[in-house]
Amino acid sequence: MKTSRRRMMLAVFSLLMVGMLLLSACASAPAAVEPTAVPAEPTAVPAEPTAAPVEPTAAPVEPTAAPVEPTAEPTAEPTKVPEATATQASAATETPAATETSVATATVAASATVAATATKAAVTAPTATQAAAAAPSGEWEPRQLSNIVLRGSGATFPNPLYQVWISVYTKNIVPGVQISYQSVGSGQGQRDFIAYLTDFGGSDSAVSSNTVNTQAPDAIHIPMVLGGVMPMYNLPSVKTTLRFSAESIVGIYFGSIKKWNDPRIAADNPGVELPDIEVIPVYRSDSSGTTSIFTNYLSSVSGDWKSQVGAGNTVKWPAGIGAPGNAGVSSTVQRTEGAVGYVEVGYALAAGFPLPFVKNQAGNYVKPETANVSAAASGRTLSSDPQKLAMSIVNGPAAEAYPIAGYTYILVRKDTYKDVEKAQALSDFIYWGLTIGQGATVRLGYAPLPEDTRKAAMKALMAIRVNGQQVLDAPVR
Amino acid sequence: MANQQTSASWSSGKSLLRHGDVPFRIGTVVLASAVVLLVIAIAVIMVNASQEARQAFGLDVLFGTEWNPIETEVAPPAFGAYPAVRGTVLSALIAILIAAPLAIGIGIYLAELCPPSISTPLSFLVELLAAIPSVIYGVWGVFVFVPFFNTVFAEPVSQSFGLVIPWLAGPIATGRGIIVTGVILAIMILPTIASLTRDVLRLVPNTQREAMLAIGATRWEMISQAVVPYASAGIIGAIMLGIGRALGETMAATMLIGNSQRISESLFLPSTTAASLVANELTNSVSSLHESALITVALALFGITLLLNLSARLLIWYVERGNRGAK
Repeated sequence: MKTSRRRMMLAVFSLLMVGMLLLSACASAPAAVEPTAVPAEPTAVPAEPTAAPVEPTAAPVEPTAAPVEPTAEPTAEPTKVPEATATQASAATETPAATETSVATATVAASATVAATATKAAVTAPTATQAAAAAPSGEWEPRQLSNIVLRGSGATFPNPLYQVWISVYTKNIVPGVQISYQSVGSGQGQRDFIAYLTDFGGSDSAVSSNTVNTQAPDAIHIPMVLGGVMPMYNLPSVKTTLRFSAESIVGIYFGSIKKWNDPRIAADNPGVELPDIEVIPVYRSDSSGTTSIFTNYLSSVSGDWKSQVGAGNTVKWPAGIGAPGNAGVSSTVQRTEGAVGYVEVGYALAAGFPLPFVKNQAGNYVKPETANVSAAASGRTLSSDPQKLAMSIVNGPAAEAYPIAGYTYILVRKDTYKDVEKAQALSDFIYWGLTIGQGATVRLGYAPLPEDTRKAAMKALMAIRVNGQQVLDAPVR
Repeated sequence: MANQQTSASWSSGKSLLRHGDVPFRIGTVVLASAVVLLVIAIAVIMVNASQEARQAFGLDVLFGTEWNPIETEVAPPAFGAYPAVRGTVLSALIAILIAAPLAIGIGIYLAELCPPSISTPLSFLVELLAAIPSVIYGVWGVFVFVPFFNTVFAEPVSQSFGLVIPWLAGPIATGRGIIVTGVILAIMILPTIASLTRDVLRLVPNTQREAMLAIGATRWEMISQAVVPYASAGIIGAIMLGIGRALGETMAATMLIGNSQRISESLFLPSTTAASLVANELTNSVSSLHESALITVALALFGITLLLNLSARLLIWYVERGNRGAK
C-alpha cells in the first residue's frame, strides 16, 4: 500500500519531467523560425518619407536651418563642437524628446532630403543636393538620449578598441546610453545578430551572401577599422628581418617548403644566411576571422590554394600544427624554433617579434605598419549600395599596400529596428566611432579606415530606417 | 530504519505537515530530478541539432576521413571526423596505459602499506592534483613538458625505434602529437584513479586480509591474491572513469595535440581529438551542416562518456554494496 503510493508519486514526477522536456523541445523549434519572418515586413515602408510634407511647417523650416550652421562656424575644429551650434543642433533633436512621435517626423523632414540622395525620391532632388553640399562642413554631436541599452557581440579582434570606444562614449559623451559588446567570435556574433539577440554584431568576415539572402536581408556591413595579419617566425639565428613573397607563404602553408633554406625563401632574401632547419607552419585551430583574412590572401595569390583548400574561418590545412587563439599561435611560435604562424600584428608586437616584409601586388616589400595596412583598402571601387560595402581587401593594388589585411565590420539592420531611440543611439555611436573614434585606432594597434571607405561607411549608416524614417542625419566628413 | 520512519510518516498527514516533511521531500525530489532533467535535455537537444548531419552522412560523420568545412573547386565540404575519433581513442589509450598501473600502485600504497601519518597528506596531495584546472596542465605542457619530453624521450626514440617502427617515427620538431597529449592526460587522470582505487581497497573487509595472512601469506601475496582481486571490479570502474575523463578532456588536448586533421602513422605527429575539434570549430561554424556535424561528434562523445561513467559507477557501487554486508 505504502510502496504503491510512493510509486505513484514517482510516476507523477517522471510524467512531469517528460512533459517539461516535450515542452522545451517544442518551444525551441518555433523560436528558431520566428526571426526570419521579421525582416520581410518593413521593406514596404520606404514610400513613407513622402508623408513628411503633411507637416508643412516643419519641412520648409529645417532645410534652411541646416545651411545656417556651417556659415556660423565655418572654421570650427571638427572634434570640438562650438556651443552656439551645439545648442542649435540639439534644439532640433533634443526638445522633441518629450513628445517622441513628433521628433521622428521633425528630424525626418530634415533628413529626408539627405536620404533622397542615397535612395530614390527624385521629387526632392534640388533640395537634396543643396543639403548634401552643405553637409560636409556641418557640425555634429551625438543625441543625448537616456535609458538606452545597446547589446552587441562578435569578433574578438576589434574587442579592445570597441571596449575603449564604449567606455569613453558612455562615460564622457552620452552617459544615458549603455553599450555592451561581448567578444564571442565573428561567427557567433553573426548568428546572434541574425537571431535578433543583439542590436549590432561584430564580424571580421562578411556574412555570406547566401545567409544574407535567406536570413538577414537587411543587414548592413559597416567597416570600422582595418587589421593586418602577419607571418611571425622564430629563427634566432637570423638577425635581419625576413622578406616573404606570396609564393613562399603559400609554399610554407602547403607544406612544400620544408626547410628554411629553401630556394623560394632564399630568393626573397638575398644575402641572408638561412638555417637548414625545418619550417613548422602554425595555424589557428579555432575558427576565426584572422584565418579568414589569411586564407583569403592565400586564395587570392594562389590558384592551387583557392581550388584545393579555399578560404574561410576554418579550412583543412595541408600542413602544420594548430594552436588555439592568436595568443596560442604566438606562444607556439615563440616556443618552437623554425615555426612560422600568422597572427594579428598587435600580438607579434606584444611578443617583441619583428614585423616582416611581405611582397605586395605592386612588387614592393612592405611591413604591416598602420599606414600600409590602411593603404590595403585604398584604390578600391566602393559600391554605392550601403548593403554591399563588405569586401575582401587582401592583396591590394596600391604601391604601399600591405597585402594581408581585412576590415572588421559592425553589422546593423537597415529597416528592422523597432525602437527609434535605440536606433538613434546606435547610429550615433557608430558615427562617432567612424569620426572621432578613429583617432584611437593607431594607438591600439589598428589601422584607421582610408577616407573613401570611411565616407562610404557613413553613408551606409545613414541608410538605417525605423518605420521608414532615416535615423541618423550627419555630415559625411 | 530511516526509511521506515519516513514511510510511516506518510500515512499520518498531520504530523507530517507539522514538521514540514512533505514540502521538504517534494522540494528535494524536484531539485534532484532537475539534474536528471538536465542530462535528458542535453541529450534531446543534441539529438535534434545533429539530425541534419546524421541524415546527410550517417555514421560517416564519425568514420569518414575527410574533414573540410570549406567548399572549394576541388574539395567539396566533407565532415568525417575519423582523424579526431582516432586521436581521441589513441591519446586516451596511451593515457590509461601509463596512468592505470601508476594509479593502482599509488592506491595500493595509500590503502595498504602507508603509515597513516604519511597517508593523509599524500592522499590530500593526490586529490589536489585532480583539482588543478586542465588549462594549467595545458600551459605547463606547452611551456615545460613538451621541450623536456622532446629532448628526453621523443628525439631518442624516433631516432632509434622510430627508424624501424613507423608509428614511432619522426619528425618531432613540432613537439605536438598524440603521445605527448597522452602523457599529459595520464597525469590528469592519475588522481581520479588513484583515489578511487584507495577507496575501494579500504572497503575490502579485514577478514579477507586476516584469512590470507593466517595461512602464512606474505604481504605481497595477501595484497595481490586476496585484496586486489576482491576489489577488482571497483578498480576497473576507477580506470573506466579515468578513460572517461581522458576522452572528454578538451583544453589540455587542444593545446598539445596540434589540431591537425591529417592521419599520420606516427604517434609523435600532430592529430586532433573529438573534444578539441568541437571546442575549436563550433563557435564559428561555417554552415549549419558544419555545426550539425560537430554536434554529432559531441553527441557521440556524450554517449560514450555517459556509458563509461555509468558502467564504472555500477562496478564501484557493486563492490561497495558487496562489502557493506561483509563487515
